[in-house]
Amino acid sequence: MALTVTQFVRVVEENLAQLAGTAVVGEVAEFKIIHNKWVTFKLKDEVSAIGCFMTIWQYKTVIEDGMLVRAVGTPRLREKGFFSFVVESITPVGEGSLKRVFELLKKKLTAEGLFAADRKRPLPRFPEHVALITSRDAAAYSDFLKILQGRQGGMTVSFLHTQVQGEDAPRQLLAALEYANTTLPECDVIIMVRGGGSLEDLAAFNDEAIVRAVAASRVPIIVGVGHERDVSLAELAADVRASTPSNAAELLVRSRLEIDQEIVQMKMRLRQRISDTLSDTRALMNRVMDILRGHVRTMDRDLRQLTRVLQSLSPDRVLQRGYSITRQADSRIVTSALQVLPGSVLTTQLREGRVTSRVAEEETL
Amino acid sequence: MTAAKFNFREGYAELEKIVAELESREIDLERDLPKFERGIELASLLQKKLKEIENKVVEIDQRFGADEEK
Repeated sequence: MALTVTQFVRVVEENLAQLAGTAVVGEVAEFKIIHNKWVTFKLKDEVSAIGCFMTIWQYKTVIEDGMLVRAVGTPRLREKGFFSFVVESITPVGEGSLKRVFELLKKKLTAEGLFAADRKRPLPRFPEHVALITSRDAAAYSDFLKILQGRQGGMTVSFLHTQVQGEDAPRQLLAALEYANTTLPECDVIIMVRGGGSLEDLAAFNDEAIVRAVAASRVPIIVGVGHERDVSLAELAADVRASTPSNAAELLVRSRLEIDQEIVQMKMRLRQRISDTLSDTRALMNRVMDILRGHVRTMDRDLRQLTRVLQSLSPDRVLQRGYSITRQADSRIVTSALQVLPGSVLTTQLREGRVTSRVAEEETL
Repeated sequence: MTAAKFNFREGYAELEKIVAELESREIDLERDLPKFERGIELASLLQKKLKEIENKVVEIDQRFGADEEK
């Protein structure tokens, strides 16, 4: 019994369907993006080559000819007898390819301005609630918390556990970023950290979707990966890039000591200001006192002079010089002969003692 | 005001404001003395608050990215 061509193609297709989800590793050649809808390329090794096809929506990385990749998909035989491997996901394999993808993606996102300095937002000075995204099994987790504790207390740390490497890591990190941005809106800063590693270990932190999510985070975000020299694209997209998880804690909050010194400084400035004001007031009072003292001295001198004048005018002084004062009986001083009549009794005060006399005769000048 | 209820961020901002204000203009001792005293009080509260050691870690009970599979 023979099959028609169509039946044959269908049977082959059915058999090929059992190979769905096969992962194939090979080198990319003749890579093309068609009408910004489809992606075609060849996967090859030293001996064989197969044609591959995928849609642009499944193409989530940057591939170019010569790269070693791992493609997962289903082999298909089309009606026209055309064989192709329909790829669902493609990831670069090996340090060389990863490095190349890293460079290409970096170039692309830099051109988009995702890493631009003017996109960076400052962190709040005193964060009270932070969201920590990392794996609870990673040293990054305990390193970060230890350094944080050493620098400042009284904060709330919402911890979001995710894988930080492996196939599922990008999806988990993405979900955690989304959660922190939507369900923890009161949080002041997001911190996403992991330890160092190879480019393959860090793949999730170089994943385009993660990098874009970091750049789009509404909450200011610190990303810190590994050792000093490890750089990931997620770090470049973050508001603040930490060199290590510990460094993320250092960049998040200043140390108690540093803040304490600032407070002491401010206290001193306040005291200084008040004591300056007090001494200004004291100086002013001293000036007023000086002026008043000057016035008092002048008045004192004037008073003494007046006293001298008064003393020189005193009747006592006149009597001393030999003059005398004569009064009538009613004590009025006699200054004219017209005041007295013969027979009046007059009292005359002399330098020493007094005499009483009777007027014998008066003569008007 | 107890140290526990006291908000560090707000306290610090208030202290900064008081220092800046008293440094930027003439001081009237009678009027400004309460402000000065408030500044000194804030500084002490902030220093006390700074001595708090513990941070509270709350683990968010959620499987991130797992909802589609499980």
